Amino acid sequence: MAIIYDNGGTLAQMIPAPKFLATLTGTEEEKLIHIANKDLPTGTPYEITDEDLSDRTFRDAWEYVAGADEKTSEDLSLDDQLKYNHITQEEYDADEG
Amino acid sequence: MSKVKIQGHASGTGVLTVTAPNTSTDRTITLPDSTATIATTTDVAARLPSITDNGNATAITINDRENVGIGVSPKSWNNNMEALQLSSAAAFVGSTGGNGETARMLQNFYNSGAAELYIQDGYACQYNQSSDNGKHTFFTAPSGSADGTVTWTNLLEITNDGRGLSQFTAKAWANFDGSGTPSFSDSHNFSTITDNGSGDWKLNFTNNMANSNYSAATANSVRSGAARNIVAGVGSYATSGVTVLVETSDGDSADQSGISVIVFGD
Repeated sequence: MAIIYDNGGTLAQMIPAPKFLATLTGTEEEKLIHIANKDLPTGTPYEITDEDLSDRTFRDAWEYVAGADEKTSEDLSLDDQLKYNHITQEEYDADEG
Repeated sequence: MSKVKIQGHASGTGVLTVTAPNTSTDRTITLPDSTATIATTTDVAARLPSITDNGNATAITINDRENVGIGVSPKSWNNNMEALQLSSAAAFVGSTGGNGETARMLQNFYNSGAAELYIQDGYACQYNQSSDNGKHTFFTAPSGSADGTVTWTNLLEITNDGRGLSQFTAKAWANFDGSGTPSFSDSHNFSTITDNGSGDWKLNFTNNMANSNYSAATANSVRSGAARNIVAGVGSYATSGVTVLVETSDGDSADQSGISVIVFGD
């Protein structure tokens, strides 16, 4: 499964690293939602797809079209932001305080 | 002198009390001047002595903070540290406090409670294992004078999830196949790969870099024919990930397999 989204008019697909995926818990979709929240800018519309996108013909002409299952990336929890080094310990402490 | 065995009556408690005639607290047992072995019994093997003292000088000293010195009078360590000090050179310390419980192996310094001070002239080092976050940390300090304050440099951390944080350990690395739907053959500290188009991928760090001034090296597998003129390079550096581009000698983007990336920095 992959996460697809619009990247400046072209479709981008994000594929998880198996080692990282193995560290997550939950269903496959829950894991990918966590990954979208982690690796996409907050507020990015995206979809989770299991479509085979290995045929690279006209790759640079692919476009993202929103479907019925479109989601939007959200902020990670403060704990996860600290864990993934998105914020410093000082920023974490300030937000917690 | 032959052995003397004093055994309590079967109906008693087995407690032997020596009482002085003048006071109930002035009690002394005097052992022979030269050598003595305490509690040696041949009839109860489990009670054979576990410590045999053949020393001729003070070997172990315990101070009023219960710090133990072997071959040395221990320093007066911080109250939240239990220290086993070995000569002036080394100490093993269990500490509690703000960062949880920490096991520490120390060389040439001690913590007085107010500061960390050199024990004698020279360099100082320490290695810590923290229960708070499960990480290993290595520090060094420049050469200093006895009783001078130690200034530490954190040279290496090994995190509980297996990352080495230093100037000399790779922050991330990957071998990936970008010839179709991109996929990692193997990787370290990369969470995802984003296919942005032909010959254009962003590899996203699991744990972000501290800044975008890091070093990233890329390599492409050796090819033959026209494909040998395909090169991989870094497109951009971001704290969240590194972008890798592959182009032909004509400047056209190209999908490729067998691409390697390795990242060093903060």
